[in-house]
Amino acid sequence: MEIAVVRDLLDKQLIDRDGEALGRADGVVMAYSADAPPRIMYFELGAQTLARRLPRPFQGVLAWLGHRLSPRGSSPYRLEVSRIIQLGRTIKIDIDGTRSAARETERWVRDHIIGRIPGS
Amino acid sequence: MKKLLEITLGIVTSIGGFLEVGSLATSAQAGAAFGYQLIWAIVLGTICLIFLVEMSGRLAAVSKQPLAGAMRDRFGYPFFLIPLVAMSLLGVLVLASELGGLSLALQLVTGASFPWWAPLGAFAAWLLLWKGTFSIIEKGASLFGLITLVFVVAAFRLHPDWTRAAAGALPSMPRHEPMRYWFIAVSIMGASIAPYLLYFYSAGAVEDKWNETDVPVNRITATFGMSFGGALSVAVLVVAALVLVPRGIRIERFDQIALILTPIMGRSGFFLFAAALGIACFGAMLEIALSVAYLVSQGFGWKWTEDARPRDVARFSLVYTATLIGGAIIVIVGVDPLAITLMSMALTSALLPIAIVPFLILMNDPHFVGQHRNGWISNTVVCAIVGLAFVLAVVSIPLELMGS
Amino acid sequence: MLTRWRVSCAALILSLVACGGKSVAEQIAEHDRVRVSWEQTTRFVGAEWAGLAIPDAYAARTLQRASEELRSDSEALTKEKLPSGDLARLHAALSIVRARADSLAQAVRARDRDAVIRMVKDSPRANADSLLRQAALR
Repeated sequence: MEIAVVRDLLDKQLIDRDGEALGRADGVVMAYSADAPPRIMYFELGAQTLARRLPRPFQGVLAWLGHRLSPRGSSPYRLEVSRIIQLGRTIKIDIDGTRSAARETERWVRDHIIGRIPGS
Repeated sequence: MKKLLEITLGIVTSIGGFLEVGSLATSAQAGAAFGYQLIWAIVLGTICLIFLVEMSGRLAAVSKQPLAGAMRDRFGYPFFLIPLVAMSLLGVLVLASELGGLSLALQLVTGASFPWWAPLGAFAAWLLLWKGTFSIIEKGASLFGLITLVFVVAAFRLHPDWTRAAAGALPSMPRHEPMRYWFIAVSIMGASIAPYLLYFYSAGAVEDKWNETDVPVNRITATFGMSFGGALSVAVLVVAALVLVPRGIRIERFDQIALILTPIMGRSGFFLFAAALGIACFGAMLEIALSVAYLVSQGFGWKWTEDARPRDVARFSLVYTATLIGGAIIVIVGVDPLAITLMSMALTSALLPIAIVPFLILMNDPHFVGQHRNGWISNTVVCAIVGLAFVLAVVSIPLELMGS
Repeated sequence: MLTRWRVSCAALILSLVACGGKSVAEQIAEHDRVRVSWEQTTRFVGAEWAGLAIPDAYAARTLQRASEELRSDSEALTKEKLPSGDLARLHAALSIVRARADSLAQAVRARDRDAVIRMVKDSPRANADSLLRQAALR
């Protein structure tokens, strides 16, 4: 089966074992060395990855925002491609989303903002 | 039998949600200033909307993805940032105008010129989004929204010359004040072809788990629902024309619009107008806030659903909260509500290509919609009308700004 | 090549500005329209209020609003370059209409229905038939 990286992997919605949203594949990372053929290794998620995809002049603002707002700081989150269970309209990853670092920002917003408002 | 019920419900839902401050204000202005002459703008806008709403339902049913998500999928990031930023900012602006309309309605009913109606209205909308489910919001807004049918009743009671009104459905050149004419035409089209409706509709279709069998039903509900909705705008225009033209009154400020039902229905007319305005604006606020939240959340792949507790969809909830706050700030600052309304409608027309061109490309991509691709009619009609709206907007907005 | 492009841009902008500017006759007509519109609005509000169709608060506020709009139209008038004859006529007409709006507002606040009915009757009435025909509604 043929998979086109940009059409079928990049920017696709990633979901966890239970079908809940994990995020989107903001980047795709390949490993490339002299003695092995290039292989797709990871999905990359996060504001830093998104910032790098912008034209140079705009990179600064988004990178700064991501650094400020993300609890992880500067490092983007990586998901091994080997964990893919299903490829289709969405990409299912063999991971428990409730504890995954991919949802760290979501949990942070929940604990520090939304959770503090009554009735949530 | 069940299908028939489904269709009826779908049509009723669409009617109730159609009229909001933009279509009300622009239709009333058009009627007072140009009689039946601008009915064609409502007709064109409604036709375009029918095609677009049908398309957004079809996309959701076949690809199982809502519009915003499908756009990121197909065009990737960073292109997606363009519609994301444009439509989000526009959404906040339009929400501000709806909030302005709601504040006016509360002012009309209570008589109190209360500067805090705006934050109160925004808070009420927020509370409903916080606590409510998609189904309750959709059905509630639509059912209560049926009060806007009062304009249809009023229009018939005025015994308009229907042949002359029908003549207005054909485009014609203005006999006076050409700049104003085209600016109002552009605003009418921007009020009808509201992109936020598309994000809302397709997200709803995904929440309701539509599939390919829903495509034919969707076609019927979109056509009839939006047509009835367009008829509501025409009714407002007719009423404004027959009440205000013989009195030589043009609409310069929102307060004047409240008078259009009183000659026909007396004191009840006044309060019915306020109720219709308030309910229509409130419903629109809910839809717009959700639309922006859908756009952002789906675009970035976050969890999004109105049916979960806010803590389970934290970032989604944060976005609609921020949108409501943004709209409230604009109104509190004191910008004239009629001015925001007209400008945001005209701006919508100018920015339509940003939202619609990617959408059209999606609807012709077999990877997303399989064999349910757009026919040449859908493509041609949407392109033509959106193109017209865009050209008119680009020409008339600067002229209007310079003229006033 | 670049110069030709610059010249065309300048010509386009100038023509837009020229079209955007209104002729003297148009400016006068616009002022007349705005004044008549608010004059008739105050008449309408007065009539409906006397007929108990609209609440006191709304009537009073709309009449006040009319007065404010007429005043800002007067101010705008002083900034425009119009022939002095027309300027005088417009100013005079605006003052009359504004005074009427203020008196109506006062009467509404005092709940003096008879005064309002009298003022409405005395104010000029729009020619409904002619307006309807002009707008091709009849």
